[in-house]
Amino acid sequence: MAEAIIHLRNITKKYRDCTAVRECSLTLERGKIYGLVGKNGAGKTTIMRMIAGLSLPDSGQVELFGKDAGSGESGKIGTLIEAPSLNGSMTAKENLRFYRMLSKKKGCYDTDEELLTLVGLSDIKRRRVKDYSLGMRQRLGIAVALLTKPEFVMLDEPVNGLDPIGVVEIRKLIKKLSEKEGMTFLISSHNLPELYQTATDYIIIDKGVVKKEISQEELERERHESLEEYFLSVIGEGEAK
Amino acid sequence: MKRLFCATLYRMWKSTGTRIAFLITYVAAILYFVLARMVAVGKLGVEQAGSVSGLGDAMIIWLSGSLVIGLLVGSDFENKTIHGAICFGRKKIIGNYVAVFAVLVALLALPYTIGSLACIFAGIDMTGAEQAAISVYLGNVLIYTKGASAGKLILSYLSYAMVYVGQLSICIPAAVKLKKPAAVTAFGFFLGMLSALLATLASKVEILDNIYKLTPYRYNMETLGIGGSYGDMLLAVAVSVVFAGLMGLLSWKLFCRAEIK
Repeated sequence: MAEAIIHLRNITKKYRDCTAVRECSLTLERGKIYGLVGKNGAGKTTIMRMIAGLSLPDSGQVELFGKDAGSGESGKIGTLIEAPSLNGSMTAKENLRFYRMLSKKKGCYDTDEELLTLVGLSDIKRRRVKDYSLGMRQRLGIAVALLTKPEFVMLDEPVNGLDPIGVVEIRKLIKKLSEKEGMTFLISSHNLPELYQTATDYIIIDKGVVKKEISQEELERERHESLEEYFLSVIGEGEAK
Repeated sequence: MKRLFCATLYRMWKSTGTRIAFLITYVAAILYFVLARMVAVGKLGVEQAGSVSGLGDAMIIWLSGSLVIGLLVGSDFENKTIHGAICFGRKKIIGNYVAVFAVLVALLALPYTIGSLACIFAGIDMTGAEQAAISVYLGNVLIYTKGASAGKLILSYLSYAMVYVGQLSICIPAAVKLKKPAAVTAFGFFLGMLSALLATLASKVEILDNIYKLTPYRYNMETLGIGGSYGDMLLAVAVSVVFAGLMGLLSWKLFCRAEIK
């Protein structure tokens, strides 16, 4: 069994009268690529936000690398949640410089050039981000998330707005980083065919509750037609399909 | 914390809004001294002095200061760059806002300080521009005599910069709550005008005056100019530091369990 780096223990999060996440417990292991799957409003982003420390659980505990969430583990976690965290008035290079200044971790990519090339932005690195298309912003958001070569990366709809070439490039990049650098990914996506080609494990969530955790191998062994078909059967909407 | 501080200063330096705020302040400061001099030598009528005073620090620093705090806090939420800072912990984020804000306000006050020092040391006479002098800086130029010590002059400027930090620090909890730069700027500017009105009211109502004395809003050019006492200046610094600290505490209270979008 691989080393566990993230523990969620019975976390519950309510927004007024709505329970977004209910007594959720999860353990994420190093080097795996987790696909977080669920309908709109199932609680996927809320779980990611609590792991990132952007939202605090009403009860339960979030533990990252043996410490409570938000306790100063700068550089160990990379995030792209909901929308890329970018300064519009800065260029791509300046944005990366800002995030480099924030991180104490030195084991980053040697140069911004290397990272921008990885995400396909080396040609427009001097253009202000406010002039970028949705896909370009998304690519830069991924570059920011990967900047410090973090041990754990959370990506919320990472291929949103990317062209088909970009989708393939990002998929390859995630797989490479997981295999070669041992980075762990938690990816939330509604693009299930794409997620199926990337993830090694799946977490299926519905109405704030973790319904099923299954690995790619188990999924293939059980001979499911597709991830979409399996997801619908788990949340009890198989017939609707 | 140092990394967060430096990265935030870099972010502010790269912000177009911050550059505009500084440009407005620095141009206004230059115009203020030039126009005040024109009033003094009679090239502008005394009736223009009121308009000239609108370019003084009391007005401009409140305007640009509240814009800067709006950008410092509000754009951090709007651009989601706070996502990258959250790993430092919420307490440090608020502490960092207060520290960066203090530095930026001190820099906003700098052209007025330099302008008044230039007038003093170049021997430029501003007599006649009294009505444009709702500013400690121009006030110092007007009352400066060769006998006044340079130390007292510096203390006067430092204490007034700190008073501005204290006065404007009320915008920090507002920015944490409102999260929109434009809303914070409007709030700060409105408060700046309100504080001037309250000061007038406080001078007539004793109980209000007693409360007012515990805040940085009571300090003006009479108490902090080189004509004032050392005790008043030190007290002003102490009151402003405590007040800014309380505003930091209030901000943290608002932020410690808040959702970060």
